[in-house]
Amino acid sequence: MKCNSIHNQLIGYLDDEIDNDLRNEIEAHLKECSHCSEFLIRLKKAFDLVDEEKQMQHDPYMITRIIARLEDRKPMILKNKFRMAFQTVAFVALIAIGIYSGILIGKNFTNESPISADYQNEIYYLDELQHENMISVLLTD
Amino acid sequence: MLLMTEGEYIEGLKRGDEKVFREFVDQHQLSLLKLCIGFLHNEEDAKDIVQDVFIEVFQSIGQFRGDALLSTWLFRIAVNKSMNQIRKSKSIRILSNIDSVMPFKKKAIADITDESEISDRHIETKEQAKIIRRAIDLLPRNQRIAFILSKYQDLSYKDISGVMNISLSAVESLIHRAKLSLQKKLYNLYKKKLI
Repeated sequence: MKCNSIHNQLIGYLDDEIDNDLRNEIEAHLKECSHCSEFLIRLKKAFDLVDEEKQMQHDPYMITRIIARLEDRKPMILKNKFRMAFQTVAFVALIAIGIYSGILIGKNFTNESPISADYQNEIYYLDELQHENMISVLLTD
Repeated sequence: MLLMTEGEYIEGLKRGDEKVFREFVDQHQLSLLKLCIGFLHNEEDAKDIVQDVFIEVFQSIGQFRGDALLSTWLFRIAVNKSMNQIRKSKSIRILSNIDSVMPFKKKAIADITDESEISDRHIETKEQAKIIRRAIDLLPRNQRIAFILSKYQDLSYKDISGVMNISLSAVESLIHRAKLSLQKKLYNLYKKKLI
């Protein structure tokens, strides 16, 4: 097995994620190749340094700080809720005012331009069918 | 320490039960710290983010649909907040970094983003650790997340697929590529006698 192929497998070898055949091949190569076996040692050391970093300690004051932050946020949460309620009411009021203004404008427009009596008669004559049945018109002399 | 079931935690948190919340924080604090340190490499930053995670859980538990485990949801929030913090820190660093206008100032090893800039000399263990962490930080986003969840949190591939909301095969592929990439970077460093 060539060194390049070995390098690609070494992290898997360290994590015990390779099958037995591959493991045996790698170990056979490592016995004969000081370059690869030295690299394996360095690689293991590198990941041991990573393992050291994750050795965190339980923080006994964490919950106290969290509770304190939640307490600080309460007035802000109430303020935000009030602001949201106010915004909703303001929005609904604006819509209502808009609709009412539209109705008022529409009414004024209707009042300012009444249909004239002559125009009304014209409409009447154009729509005579409602007042005189077509059959009776055809049947009379 | 009283061990509660997942259902008991969810019910208690939804009720706003402080005792349950304290228990929940106690139970999950350490695993979240391990996860966040993998992203942030700074204990104080990791603690701040973990606090943010628990506060968000407490305030948003009503929106938890129960379609994933509570711990999966927790890790998902932690990953998002950690990545957001990294993005924020990067912006601040770019804005406040005046080193670029001083061409002769030596860069700290940890600030070097490309191993080709590193000179050929042996470095102490602490600096080696910084280099290795930097190599992990330079992984593409999803590879980095998958690798950290695997290496720092010791999550199974199945759990990682839940946290990242991707398939199991996608997780395997991401971690495989992350390991290959790290191997390559670390071999280059080894050739330069830097690890």
